[in-house]
Amino acid sequence: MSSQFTRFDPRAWQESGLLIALPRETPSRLQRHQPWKIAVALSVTLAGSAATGSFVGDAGATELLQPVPAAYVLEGSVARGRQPADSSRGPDIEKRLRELHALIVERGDQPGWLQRDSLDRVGKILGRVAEDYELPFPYIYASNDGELSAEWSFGNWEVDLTFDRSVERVIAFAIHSRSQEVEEFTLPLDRANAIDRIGRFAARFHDAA
Amino acid sequence: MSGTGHSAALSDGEELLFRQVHPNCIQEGRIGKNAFDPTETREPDRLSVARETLTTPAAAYDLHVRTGHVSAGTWAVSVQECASLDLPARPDPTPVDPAHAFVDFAGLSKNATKKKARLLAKVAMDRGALYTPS
Repeated sequence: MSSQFTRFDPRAWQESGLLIALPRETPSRLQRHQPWKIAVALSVTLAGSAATGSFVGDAGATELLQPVPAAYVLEGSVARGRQPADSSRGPDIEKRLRELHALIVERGDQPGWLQRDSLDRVGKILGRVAEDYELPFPYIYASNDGELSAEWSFGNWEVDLTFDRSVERVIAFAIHSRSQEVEEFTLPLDRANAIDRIGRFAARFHDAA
Repeated sequence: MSGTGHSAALSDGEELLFRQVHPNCIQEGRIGKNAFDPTETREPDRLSVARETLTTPAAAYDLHVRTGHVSAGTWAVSVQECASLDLPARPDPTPVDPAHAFVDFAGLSKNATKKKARLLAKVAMDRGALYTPS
């Protein structure tokens, strides 16, 4: 179950059952209340400046990097999720995103290759898919041409999502390693139900395994 | 690659073909499909490998690194595993690497190539790393 918001009043958040503590003095902190978890990136905007962070929420408390003295707007989504990560959740997606961020920096933000905002968007999408459909986090790889692929092995099914460099579309692909049966579709990511289609696709193979 | 023509395919189905895997293609010990995708290389229809009968997993790794490349270790598929995907493996010795060979993806669409690359990666992953530097 998830709820979306674009402008967020923390009082409403508290009313919805999510404990959030944002001290008026620095640094601000977000704290989740079980069994809710913060599933995607959040941004805090105050007086025309913004602080952002990626929270794929297994930590009990997440600290924003910048001071937040008073007014703020949060953008993102929260989802009712599982308890903190264990091995059944698959690889450590936060660690992997940090590694890929480091790789982008190492390559000097090379034009024509993977960009930070693209990586952040893919991270958000995968966080939503894993959370909403109770899937393990996928393994994530960057190709030489800057595409990102998210891969799962579910029994005999190899399932992957390949995001183009600009994260405008995804190719969802699954192949049975014995029969070589293939299922595949391409989806523009600006479709309203894009994440649901991706999630349903991956969940079907996960549940069959 | 040394030659331009197609040599005869390797016939010993049990022979392993060593593949050097770039660190970017590994996460928590799992190799990604792009580790066996020749479209990720300079020769988009040839997947470079080294022959088990002419080198070892450690020696193949050492040569790869010594010649200026980066590798996280040696994984492998067999000649038969390639053949079962209609991918012939061909010898391609070079002065630097007499054990060099390639898995021939010639004539395949990009989509078909990627599909077979996924399956090779799966086979190699199931077999496990044959050599990783300590």
